[in-house]
Amino acid sequence: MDFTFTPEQQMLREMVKKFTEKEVRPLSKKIDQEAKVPMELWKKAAELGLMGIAFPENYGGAGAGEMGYCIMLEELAQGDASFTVMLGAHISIGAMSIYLDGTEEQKQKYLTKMCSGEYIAAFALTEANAGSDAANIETNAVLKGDEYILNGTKFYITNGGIADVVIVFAVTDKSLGAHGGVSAFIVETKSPGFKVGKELDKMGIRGSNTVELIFENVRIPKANILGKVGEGFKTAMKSLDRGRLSLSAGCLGGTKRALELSLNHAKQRVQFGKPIAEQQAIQWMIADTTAEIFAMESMVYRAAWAHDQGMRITRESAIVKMYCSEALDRAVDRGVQIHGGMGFIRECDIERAYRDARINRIFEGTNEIQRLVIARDVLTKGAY
Amino acid sequence: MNVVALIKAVPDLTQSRYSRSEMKLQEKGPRLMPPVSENVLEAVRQIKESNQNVSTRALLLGNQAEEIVLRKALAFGLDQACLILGDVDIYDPYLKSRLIAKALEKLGVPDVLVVGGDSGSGSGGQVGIRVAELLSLEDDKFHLIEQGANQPRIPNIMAIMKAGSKELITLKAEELLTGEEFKSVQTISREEWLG
Repeated sequence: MDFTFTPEQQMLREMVKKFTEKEVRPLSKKIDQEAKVPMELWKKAAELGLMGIAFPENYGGAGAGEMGYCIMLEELAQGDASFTVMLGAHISIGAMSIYLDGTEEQKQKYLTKMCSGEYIAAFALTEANAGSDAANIETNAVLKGDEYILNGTKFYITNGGIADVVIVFAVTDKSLGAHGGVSAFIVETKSPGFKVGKELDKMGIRGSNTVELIFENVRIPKANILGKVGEGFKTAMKSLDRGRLSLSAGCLGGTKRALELSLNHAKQRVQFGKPIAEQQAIQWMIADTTAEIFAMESMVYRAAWAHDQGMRITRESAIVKMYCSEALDRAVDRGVQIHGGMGFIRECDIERAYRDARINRIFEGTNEIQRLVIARDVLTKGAY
Repeated sequence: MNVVALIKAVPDLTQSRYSRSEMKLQEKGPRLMPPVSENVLEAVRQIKESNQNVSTRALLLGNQAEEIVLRKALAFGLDQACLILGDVDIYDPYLKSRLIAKALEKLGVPDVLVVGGDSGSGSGGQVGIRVAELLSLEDDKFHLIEQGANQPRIPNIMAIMKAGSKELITLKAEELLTGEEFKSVQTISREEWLG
């Protein structure tokens, strides 16, 4: 087994690390305070080709695969969680849905602009009454002539208020249920009847735009159906498989940053006449986080490698998402503990990391849903 | 116009440790491109952007593991690369410069040679100047770039992914200089000299 990264992957990591240290991390506090990612940062990332990293060259991408994409998110997450989520939602579930199930025409029209960063993408599945129970969506689309008429409301939509294009999942035949009755649509946000509702005031990843989206008789040309009519739920699940893995790479980066912040503090904070890093109680916490980073790294890149080899990773991505989001939570909690009172103060980076981490156990499928996915897969296909 | 950038690879001092007992650096991790080489590459990039029909090549004297540093130069936008394989740690600046000059004669004497100043490894700062002298390059064809002379841009992902497929020529040091030439310019240690 060869666990070394290719020269391109090593260069990619170094490049994103430089970008993160120079452009992203210095803005992180401001992004949190102002609850907004500056568009200037998005443009700088676009110039480096970050939005196209996972897609083939013929769509303006870099063709770096899931491995390259995970490396990028791991590094970016060490700079700012909000920006990482903004980019992750754009690539993993927004642009990825078009890449996975779009027609060549749709890819040339939308994916190319998403790869260049000209368009920002969002993914709208969740509704007020359809979160974990995603099959229960009520937003509907009715065919009238050559157009579908879209009505309904989506909730907790990342990038929804700043997006140019939203992938919207709507019921096209209620009698068929989720599998057969839900379709995916490519909706341009300039379409009449598309409205951005309330922007949600969040505990963490405050700079990431999260809104309610309202569709009032939005007319969608038939050409903008994504995938086959009635197979929207499949598109959603395939995109989420990918999204869960890259989200985990972000968790890995966040955990590395939490350890770095903890180490910096533990080495310079003196109590009882010596740096607290020399106290065994602190060393145990450092060891636990370090061990978990090793596990996270191993599972993220093994799953990314499997994906790039053409293997299906539904079970693996659920496992990785569940483990990494929980390991990140434990690491930031230890980080706050190591910082003591300082860790509870707003100006301290670990305080922001603590708030930013919590969402990972909830979005892109709660960890309870991940456990269901894993268990059902094991019960139907066997353990290994 | 044919522009050549001389770059180098240096130990990663954040990972390496100096051994007092052995009186030498115990290197760990792959060698890195020093900041001054990034300044050299940025200077070459600017020459390419402000002139037409410019062909650029990065050249490095080192070992096979240092190919990644050359690939990085290709990611910076240079067209070709040349690796001279040799035991760079035991060569003195005179031998290094003769090897590089020979390689450049073989590949085609450049119209412009861009080199860095002190790289922070041997800190001799001699090699580039010696190469220019050996090739009889006029002043305006020789650019000496110091660290911090410009702001190196971060290469984009597409350029990084293409770097792997760009042309990289490998030459062997012992094939560039004949046996006698090669030996005659090697330095000996103080102990050897004292007998």
